[in-house]
Amino acid sequence: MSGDRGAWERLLAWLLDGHRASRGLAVMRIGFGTVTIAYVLMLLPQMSYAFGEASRWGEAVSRASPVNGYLWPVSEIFSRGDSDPVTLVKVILLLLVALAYAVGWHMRVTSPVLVAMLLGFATANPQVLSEGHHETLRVMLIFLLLADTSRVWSLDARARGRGRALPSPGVGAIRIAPWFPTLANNVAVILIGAQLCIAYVSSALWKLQGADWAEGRAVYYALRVDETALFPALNDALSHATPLVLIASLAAVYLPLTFPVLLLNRWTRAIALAALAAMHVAIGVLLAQPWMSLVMIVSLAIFVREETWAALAAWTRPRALRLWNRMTWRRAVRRQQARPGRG
Amino acid sequence: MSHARGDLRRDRRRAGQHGSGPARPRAGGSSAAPRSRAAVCAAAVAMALVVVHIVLTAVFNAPNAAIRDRGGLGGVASAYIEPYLTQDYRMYAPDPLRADRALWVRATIVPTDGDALVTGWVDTTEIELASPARRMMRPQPSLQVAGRLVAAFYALSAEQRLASAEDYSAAEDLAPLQEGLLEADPNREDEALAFVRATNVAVSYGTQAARALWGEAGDVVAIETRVVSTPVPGPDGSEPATAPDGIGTGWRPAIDWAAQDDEAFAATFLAWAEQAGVRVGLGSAAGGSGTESGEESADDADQGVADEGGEG
Repeated sequence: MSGDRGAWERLLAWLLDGHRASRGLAVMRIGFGTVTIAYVLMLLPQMSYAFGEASRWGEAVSRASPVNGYLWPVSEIFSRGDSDPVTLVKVILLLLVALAYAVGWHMRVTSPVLVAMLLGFATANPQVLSEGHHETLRVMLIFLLLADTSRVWSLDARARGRGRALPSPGVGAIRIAPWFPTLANNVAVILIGAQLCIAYVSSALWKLQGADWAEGRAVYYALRVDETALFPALNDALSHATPLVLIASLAAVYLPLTFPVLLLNRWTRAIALAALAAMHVAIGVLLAQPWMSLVMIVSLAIFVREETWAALAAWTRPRALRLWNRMTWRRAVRRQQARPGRG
Repeated sequence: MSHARGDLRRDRRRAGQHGSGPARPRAGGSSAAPRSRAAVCAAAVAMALVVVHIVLTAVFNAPNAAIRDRGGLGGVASAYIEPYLTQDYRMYAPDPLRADRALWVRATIVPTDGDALVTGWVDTTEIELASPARRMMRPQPSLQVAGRLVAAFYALSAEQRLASAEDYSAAEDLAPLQEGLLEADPNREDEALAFVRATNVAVSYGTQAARALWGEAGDVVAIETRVVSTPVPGPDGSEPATAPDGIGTGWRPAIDWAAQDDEAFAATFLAWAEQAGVRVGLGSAAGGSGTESGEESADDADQGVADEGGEG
C-alpha cells in the first residue's frame, strides 16, 4: 500500500509539478510545421491534378470518405466545389498558418487553426490527403492541442523573455487554474508516447503475420518494387546485399516490437531512438516515404531527455551564430564593394 | 543571507536541468506547495481517460481479429477512433508487394467523320511515375485506382467476376453493371457496390487520361481498364514464380463529372507523358493494338480473368 501511494505521489508530481518535455514538444512543433510546408509546396506545381479541379473524377470515392463528416466549420474550410484560384488562396493561408506554427507564434490560436485547416484540407481530395502520413500527423497534431509547444524555442517564448509573461488562459479576471495547462501538457506527452509505442508494436505484429518478414527477405522485395524506388540503381545494389537484407528485415520487426521495453533504460532508449531514426531515414530514402519518415522521426523527439536537447542547443547556438555572422559579414562586404566610387 | 541566496541559485540551476518546471521536492526534505484537491482529482480523471484511450487505440490497431471482436470492443474502438484519430500501421504487412502494379487504359474514340476506333493500351502508371521525384508524392492516383479495383475484384464471387467482364459500354452509366453483379450473386451486395464504386473511379480516371491523349481525334465514348501486376525476380535471381498477371474489367461507358477540369488534367498528364516518352496511337475499327512506346502492352500481360484462387 505504501508502495502504491509512493507511486501515485510520484505520478502526481510528474503530472502537476511542471511542464514536461518542453524542448521535445518544441521540436515536434517546428518539425510538423516544416513538414506541412514542404509537402504542400511540393504538391503546388500539380495542385489542380492533386486536389484541385482536375481531381474531381474521383468523386465517387471522395464523397464516401469519412472526412466529409468532420464537424462544421472544419468540413467547409476546403470544398471540392471550389475553383482552383479559390483553393490556391486557401492553400496559401494554410502555408502561412503552418509557418506560424513552425515558429511558435500565438500558439493558443495557431495550433487549433492549423489542426482545423489540415483536417479540412483532407476534404479537397480524401484519396490523396487523408491517408498515409496524413493520418499519423493528424493524430499527433490533435494531441498537441493539449500541450504548450511554444514554451521554448518560439516567438512566443521570446515575447515572454522580454518580461511579458503570458497569463493563464481565460477572459478578463476569470482565469483557468495554473495547474490545468500543466496537467494538459503532460497528458499530451503521455498520449504521444503511448501512440508511438502502439504504432511501432502494432506495425511489427502485422509484419509477423507474413513469412517474408519472419524469414528475413521482406526488405529485398520492398527494394525491388519500382513504384517506391527514388534511386533504382541504389535499391538494386542494396537488394543483392543478402546479409544487409536479412538484418534490415529482422530489425524492421524486432526493433519496433521491443521499443516500449527499450524505453525503460536510459542507454537502451538512446540506442533504440537512434536506430529507429536511422530506420526511418532508410525508409524515406530507399522506399520513397520521406513524409511518413519525417513525421515519425520528429515524433521521437518526445523521448529525448530535456538535458540532451538543452546540451545540443548549447552546442549548436554559438556555432550557428558564428556561421550567420560570417554569412552576413560577407554579404555586407560584397555590398560595400559593389557600391560605385567606394573603396 | 548571502549563503541562503547562494543555495537558492543552486536550486534554480538544478531545476533548469530537470525541465522547465519548479524544483522537485527532495526526498525527506522540504516539500512543494500542497496541491489543491481539484488538481489531484483532475489528474486522477485524466489518467483514467488516458488508460481508456490507450486500450481502445491498442484494440483498434490489433492485428488479431479475435482481440478486436472480443466483447464488442472492436466496435467501441472504431466508434471512438474514427474519424479524427483514424490510423493504420499495416505498412508493408503482412508481406510487402512482390510485383510492380500498373493501371492500363484504352478507349473507344468516335471521330466526327469516321467509324469508332479503339486505341492501344497506355500504361498510366508509367506516365505518373515519369519523374522519380513523383514517387515521393504517394499515393499516385493510378495506383490508388488500381489497388482499389483489384481489392474489390477479388472480393467478388466467381460468378460476379465473370459478370464484370461483360461489355457494358452501350449503357449510359454503371447501373447495368451493378444489376449484372447482383444478379450473378445476390448474396454479395456490399461487394458488388464496392466494385461498382471502384469501377467508377477507374473509368473516370481512364476517361480523363484518354481525353488527354486522344481527345483531339474524337469523342471518348468507352473505356476499358486493366490492372497489370509484374512480379519482381526472386532474391536468388530466379525468374518470378508467376508470369505477369492482370485483371480485366470489360468495356464501360466513359464517365464525366461536371466539376472536373479536363484541360487542367490533360496539361499535367501530357507533360508527364512526354517526359516518360509514352505515345500511344489509335488502332483500327477492328481494335488493333497501336502501342508505339515499345512497352509491353497489356495484351501481352493479359491472362484473362484471374483464377478464383489468384492473388493480385
